[in-house]
Parts: sequence; structure tokens; C-alpha cells
Amino acid sequence: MQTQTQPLRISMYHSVNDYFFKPGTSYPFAVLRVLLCCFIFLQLAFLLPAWNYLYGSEGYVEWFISNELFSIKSLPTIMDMADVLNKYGFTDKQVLYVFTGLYISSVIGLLSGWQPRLMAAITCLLHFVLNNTAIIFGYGVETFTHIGLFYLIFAPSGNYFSLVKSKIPEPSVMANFVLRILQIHLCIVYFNAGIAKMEGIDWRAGEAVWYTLANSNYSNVGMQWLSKVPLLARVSTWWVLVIETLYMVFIWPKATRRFWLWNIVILHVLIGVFMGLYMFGLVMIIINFAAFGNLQYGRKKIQKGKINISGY
Amino acid sequence: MRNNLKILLVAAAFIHFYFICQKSFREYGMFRVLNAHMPGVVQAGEYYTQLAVMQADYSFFSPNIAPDFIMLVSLQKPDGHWVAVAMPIPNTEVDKRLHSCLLGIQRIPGDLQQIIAKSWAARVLDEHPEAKFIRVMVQRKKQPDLADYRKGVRANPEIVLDVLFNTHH
Repeated sequence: MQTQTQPLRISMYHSVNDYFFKPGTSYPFAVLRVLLCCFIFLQLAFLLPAWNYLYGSEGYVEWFISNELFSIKSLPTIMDMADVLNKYGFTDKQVLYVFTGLYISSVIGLLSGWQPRLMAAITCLLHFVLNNTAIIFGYGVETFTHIGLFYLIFAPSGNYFSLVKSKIPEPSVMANFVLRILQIHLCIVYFNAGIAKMEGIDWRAGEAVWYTLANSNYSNVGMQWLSKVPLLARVSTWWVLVIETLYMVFIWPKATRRFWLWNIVILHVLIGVFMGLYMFGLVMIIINFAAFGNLQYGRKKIQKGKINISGY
Repeated sequence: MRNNLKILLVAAAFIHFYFICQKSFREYGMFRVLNAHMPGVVQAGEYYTQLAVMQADYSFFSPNIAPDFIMLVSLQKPDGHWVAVAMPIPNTEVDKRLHSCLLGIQRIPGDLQQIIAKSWAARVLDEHPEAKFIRVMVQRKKQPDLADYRKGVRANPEIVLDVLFNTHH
């Protein structure tokens, strides 16, 4: 009996088509939705005591200064809202509180799983406006929170951990497609981070971890003893470079994915513990887990019958 | 899924990643060349990446580690004594935000930095309305490398901003 082998390009087309467009479970994005919302609430718990100082019209940096020097021009800030609402008798503080109320409500809506894509879009927009108001106070936490919210606009995420029954059928092509986009985005993030570091003499010479941990702004734990163990400082510096730069190579193959994922998780745990960047470390772990953790572990749930899809 | 929808999604993904990579890899290879020739696309990409992914520059702590920046605030009380005070910072997460601000303002001219310092002084005055003068100082310290630190070399702080404000009392 003769077997016909498909031409290579048709075979490649089917592989790529399956990789991006095969229906998949929305479970990773349900996990991302819940964890990201909990993370935003945790962040609010830390920031609300200084909310007026960070985002108010008379804060650490006043609105008119922030607007003039730092905000992205032509994109909205809370000051723009206040300019309108002041005419109706609202004070700047009241506008900030109304805005904050809307933001918190949208996060609650997103967490509940009601119209998750709409809630994600509203939360994402409000998150942007908030941070454009005081962009000088932002760092990586805002960036990656925003990335998570952005992808939740497009991916279905209401089929699990939701108070409201979702109408989006499972499995979903969009769930798989957006997951691949998130994965590619993370590869770009770490590759950019890695090659940018390689340009610096601090990183190539193996001194960067020392400089970072000796920096009083970041040294959560006294690390001056590291100067007596220079090999440890150098190896840890080069480890960061390797883990970040080669993330995009080794996160994909089954044989290396778990190892690389754990290394990146450990990196972010160490960033939290030793540099005091707990929130940054946490949001990175959440996004990595959603992007690559469920692929790794979700299969077991499918095999156990906990997630019922075909062809995953 | 219909093929025309797949084509649309692939096209959207291509544009999405082009704009991200245009910012992330702006110093490298083809993006450096393309950005020089297409400022309009760069501008469009900037707005898109800010709205969609809140800037697309992931070069944190690079190329080198920034020096320490420390803000010191002191005020003169009505009796003439100078005392050191702290900015109202309730926890370490807020402190990280203020530190981001300290790093960020290093990129702006000195006269604009003084305007920011005036904002800080105003916040301190809110907490200490009795103050006659408020001094805002920012120091920079570059840590010595491992070998120098072992030899006993220590960082010397360098003053990068020193502004005195009269509260008109």
C-alpha cells in the first residue's frame, strides 16, 4: 500500500495553523484574570494610604507639573477629567475618589467574571489613565499589570472561577491564539531585557548583582558580605543574563520548559526578597505562570477529566 | 475559524509585535534603520504601545546599574533649630514609587528638578506647617566594585540637588 507524504510546506502550514488556531482551553486566562485582580487589590492595599500623594492634584508631584513634564501628551489623565468636572462643582480630590471608585468597581467586575472582556477593557483603560496621571511614579509593576489586562480583553476568561455563567463556548480558538501571543510577548520581554543588560560593563564583568544589592534603595537584606564571595556575585549576575536572554529559546521545548520556568520564577522570588520589589516579582510570576505554567500542568487536569476539551 | 478571520488575526498580531519590537529593539539592526526613516510610524507605535502595553521598553537595570539616589529633607523650626524629617511615605511600596521618581527626574534639567523639589517641600510643609525653611537635598552614591569594596573603598555621596525654600513665616 502506498502512503502519500504531504509536501513540506503544506505540513508546515498545518503545524503553524494548529499551533495558533487549534481550539484551546481558556483555563490559563481564567487563572490570569483571578490572580491579576487579586494582585491589583493587594497593590491597592499598599498604595491607598498614599493615594492622594501619588495620584492627587497636590501630591508628591502636582498634576500640572506631571502633565507638563511626564504624561504622554494627547492621552488622557485624571487632570483632564477634573478640568471637565470642576465646572460642575467637583473638587480635584472628589474627581480622584470618583475615578478610584470606578477603577475598583471595574476590577471587582473583572474578578466576578461578568462580561470579563468588557471589564478588562474598562479596567485597562482606567489603569492607563491612572498611571498616565503620575507616570513618573510607575515602574515595572504597572507595565506588566497592564499587559495582563490587555490580553484579557481579547482572550475568553469567564468560563472558570466565575460568578456568572459564561456564554463563550469551550474550547476556543481565541483562547489558544491569545495565549500564543502572550507567550511570544514574554519572549520579547526577556530577550530585550537580556541583550540590553549585555551592553553594560556592569553585567558583562559580573558586578551588576553586587551593585544592585549594595544599592541602599534596593538592598532589602544586608548583602555587603557578597564582596567577600565575588565568585557568587559574578555567577549570579551571569545566571540572570543567561536565564533572560535564552528564555525565548528554552521556554518552548518540553524538555527544558519546566527547568526554565522554575529558574525565572526563582529569579523573580529573589528580586522580591533581596531587592524589596515584591510586587514586581509577584506580577511577573503570575504572568509567567499563566503563559507557560498551565501548558505544563493543565494537561494533567485534562487527562484527569477536569477540563473537557478535544484535541488539546 | 474562517481563513479570512485568521488572516486578520495574524495581521493584527504582526502589527502589534512590530510596534513592540520597534520600541524594544530601537537601538538594534533593522529597527534602528527603519525608525530613522519612518518617524510617523514610530510616533504611531509609541501611542499604541503606551495604550496597549504601557511602554515597550524592557531594558530594566541596563545597560548599567544606576547609582544610589537618596532624598534628604530638613526644616528649620521657629526656634531656629534644623531637624531632619521624612517625606510622608507609609510603606516600602510607596517608597519604591518615590524612588522611581528620583531616578526619573535625573533625566530632566536642573531648573525643572527644582520645581519637583518645591512640590516635595510643599508636602513636608503640609505635615510641618510651623517650618520656616525647608531644604531638599538629593545625593548620589556610586558603589565601588567588588575588589575596591574589599580593599575598604566606600562610596562618597555627591550632592546633585540642593534647594532651600523659604516658607514665608
